[in-house]
Amino acid sequence: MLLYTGYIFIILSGILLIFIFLKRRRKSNQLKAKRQYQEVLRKASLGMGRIKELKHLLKLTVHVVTRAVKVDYCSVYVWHEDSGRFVLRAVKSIDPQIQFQNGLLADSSLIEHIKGTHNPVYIGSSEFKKHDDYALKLIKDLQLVPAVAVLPCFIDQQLIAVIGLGNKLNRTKYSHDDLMMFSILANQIGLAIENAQFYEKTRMIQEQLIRAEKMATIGTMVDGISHQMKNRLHAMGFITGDALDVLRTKKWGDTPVDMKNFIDEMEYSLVRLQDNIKRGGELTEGLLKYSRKNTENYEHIELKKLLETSLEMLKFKIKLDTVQIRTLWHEANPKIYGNYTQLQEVFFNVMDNAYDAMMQRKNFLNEEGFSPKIEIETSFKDEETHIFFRDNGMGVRKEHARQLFTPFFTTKLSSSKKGTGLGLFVIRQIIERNHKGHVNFSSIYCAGSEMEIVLPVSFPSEILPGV
Amino acid sequence: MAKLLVVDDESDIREFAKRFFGRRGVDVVTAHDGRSALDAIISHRPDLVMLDIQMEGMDGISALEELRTSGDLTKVIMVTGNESPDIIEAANRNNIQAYIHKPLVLEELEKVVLRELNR
Repeated sequence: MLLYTGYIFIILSGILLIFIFLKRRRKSNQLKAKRQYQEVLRKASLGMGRIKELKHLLKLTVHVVTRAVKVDYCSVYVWHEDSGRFVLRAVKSIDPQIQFQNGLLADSSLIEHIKGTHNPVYIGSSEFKKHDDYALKLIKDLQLVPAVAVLPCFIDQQLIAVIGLGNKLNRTKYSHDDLMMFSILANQIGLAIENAQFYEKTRMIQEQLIRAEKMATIGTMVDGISHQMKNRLHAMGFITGDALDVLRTKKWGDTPVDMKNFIDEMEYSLVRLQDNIKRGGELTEGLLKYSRKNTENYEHIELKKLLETSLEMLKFKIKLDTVQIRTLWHEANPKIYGNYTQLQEVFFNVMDNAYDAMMQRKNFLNEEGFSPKIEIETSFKDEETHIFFRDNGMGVRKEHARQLFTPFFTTKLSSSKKGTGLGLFVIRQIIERNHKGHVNFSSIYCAGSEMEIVLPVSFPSEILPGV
Repeated sequence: MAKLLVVDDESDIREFAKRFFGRRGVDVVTAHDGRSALDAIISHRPDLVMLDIQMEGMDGISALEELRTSGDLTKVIMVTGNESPDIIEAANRNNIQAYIHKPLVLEELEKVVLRELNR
């Protein structure tokens, strides 16, 4: 009996030992796997800082995370200032059927929760077991993304991106250690995103500067080209006029009828040619006026005349007959002290912007019966001239309004009319720095904008010329 | 016979101005810059000068100023591209008869030139 009991004890001990051994081995395997993926993530995060292209960086991020952590899917949402949302920029999923949300709103429960806690959100954590309203809202938001866990990427207390994760392929839960590891990784990714964004922005500004410089070079060339064009047109005018003169001064009394008809046709063509030469001359004159950057000629300018010539300039660029223009000139028609060419450039640009905004509204909103209208009003009070330009164009979103005068900022969408983003910046420079005036802008999105330019009627010595 | 001096650095302008006004019985002499214009004024004593502003060599404004400084009051009409206010002002100070803007319609030039020649 004792022997029998001894055998049983040995067998049981053996089973127990095997069990403990297997358990330890499993744990050690798990630990090994964990270390392995942590090592992959660590190495990847170190390399991320060196990637300068944001698109490439985010693609690599979702690839590495899905492969190393072995999850169903991984998505990256990056903060987009203009739209006020976190926009989906990269995603990798083993199930192509999963539909990911394009953007996460800044005021959603999920984002606000992350901003408040600065911690990853995990659907399996204890706080979600309460099933209160708050937890249910968060769960709903997570399901909408969709994500099982969301990792925040913070830079200087600023949430710049969030990373969404699916379930682990082996269906185990995320441990506390996992989430801690992810936090560190997410912040590394955040740094890399900021780095890439900074690099892209710098590159964009550099490209814009080169373009602006090119435009400036073309501007200086226009002066010389216009003069040459004018001389050519002048000679053509002379030659055409002389040819017409020959036809008209010769006596054609006994010429056969068909020859007379031929002469009449020649005369008709030469008259048409002459008209075109004249129009070409007007066009080059307009170009010349526009290109001339005169930094010294400050004079007393009749405001009405200035505005009218700016409108004339605009005719060369756009079809003004498609727009209703209403002008309300103040009876005093005050004179201002300034640089004619610079101010003409300002008014031309303001009206050109208004035109673009109205065309944008016409094309995007497609409203029935929409008719573009510009109203130009001048008023005079307290030694200041106020010039209002009102349009019923697309207007500007509230969140964009404060950025409008920043160089290189543009909301002009269509590629053919995409602005350089320099127009309003230059306008402000000319009005505020060169003419001691100021610019006010107000706008209602989808309704229209008002630009107010205030210019002082000041003593000449107070003006500091030069852009 | 009325005499017109055409000053322009463009040979086409000189040639066709000569043809056009020649048909109207005007004696046309030409010069290609400001310096040769001043010489031509002394040697040909024209009744009227049609003077271009922008030219290679001595420009129209310098020639006009030198002419007036020497006390010569020959009638001058200026041909202008799109000169700056300073240049226009300099021309105005020196007693000119008229401006002609480039590019011109010959009939309009004819009116101005014949009016000045017949005065």
